[in-house]
Amino acid sequence: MPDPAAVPVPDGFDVNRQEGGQADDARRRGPGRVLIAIYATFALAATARAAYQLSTRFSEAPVAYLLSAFAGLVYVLATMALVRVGRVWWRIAVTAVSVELVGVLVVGTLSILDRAAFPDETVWSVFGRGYGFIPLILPILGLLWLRKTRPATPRSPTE
Amino acid sequence: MIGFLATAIIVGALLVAGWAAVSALRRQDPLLVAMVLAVVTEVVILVQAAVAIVSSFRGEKADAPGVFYGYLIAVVLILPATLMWARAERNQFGSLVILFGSLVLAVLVVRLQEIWGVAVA
Repeated sequence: MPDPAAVPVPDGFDVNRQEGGQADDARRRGPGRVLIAIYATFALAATARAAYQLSTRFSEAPVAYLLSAFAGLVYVLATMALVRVGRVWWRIAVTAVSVELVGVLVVGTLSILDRAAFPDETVWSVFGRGYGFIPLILPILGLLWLRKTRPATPRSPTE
Repeated sequence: MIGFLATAIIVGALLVAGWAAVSALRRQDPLLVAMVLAVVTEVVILVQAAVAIVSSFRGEKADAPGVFYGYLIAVVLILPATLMWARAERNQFGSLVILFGSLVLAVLVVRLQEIWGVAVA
């Protein structure tokens, strides 16, 4: 039997093939739909903010603004991976959300230790204080949700 | 920007949020009331956007026009995008999506006023 993840799945809202007893699009159902809405908002907010910072004040704090852009790209990738179906996208989602968690912890700590390097708030500054600390909670919720919607592997359907 | 229109948008957004919160607690899909409120709010948003564009042609500009228009586009698009995304989930999670989207709308309008230079009471 071919690996279901290797078969390209058309991107549609009615895709609901069964795989090991779990719907293929389980990631974007129920709580997942709320999670994706929050991720999409942060993807837009962080990339727009970084684009503005990089285009107008890049020389002031290049490292902080590049990190800001990196955060935006991580949110974009996480949003895409959560929406798409299949095991490959599940892996990409886990990677992106893990990078996000490490990112918010590292940037959050750095921004407290070295305030001069972060003159302007970025989405991850002080663990996302400017955004109600949602950036700190979001990757934890994301990882919990991804664990719950882990696609079944063909050989261990109990997973 | 017209102050009372911005206030009307914020009130509309908070009403939608409140109604969506009630629906979510009742484990229901977004009530028709939330939809009607959202459509009315969107109409006010479009009027406000038109006024902002006309007044910027008359020379009354925000301090950072690029940022202002970025926020304006977000304000115009967020309710339709939220409703479309919530529509596929006819249960409390659809209501939660609308709750989140309408709260973000309220925050965006407050920021929009700050960028335009209106003192926010």
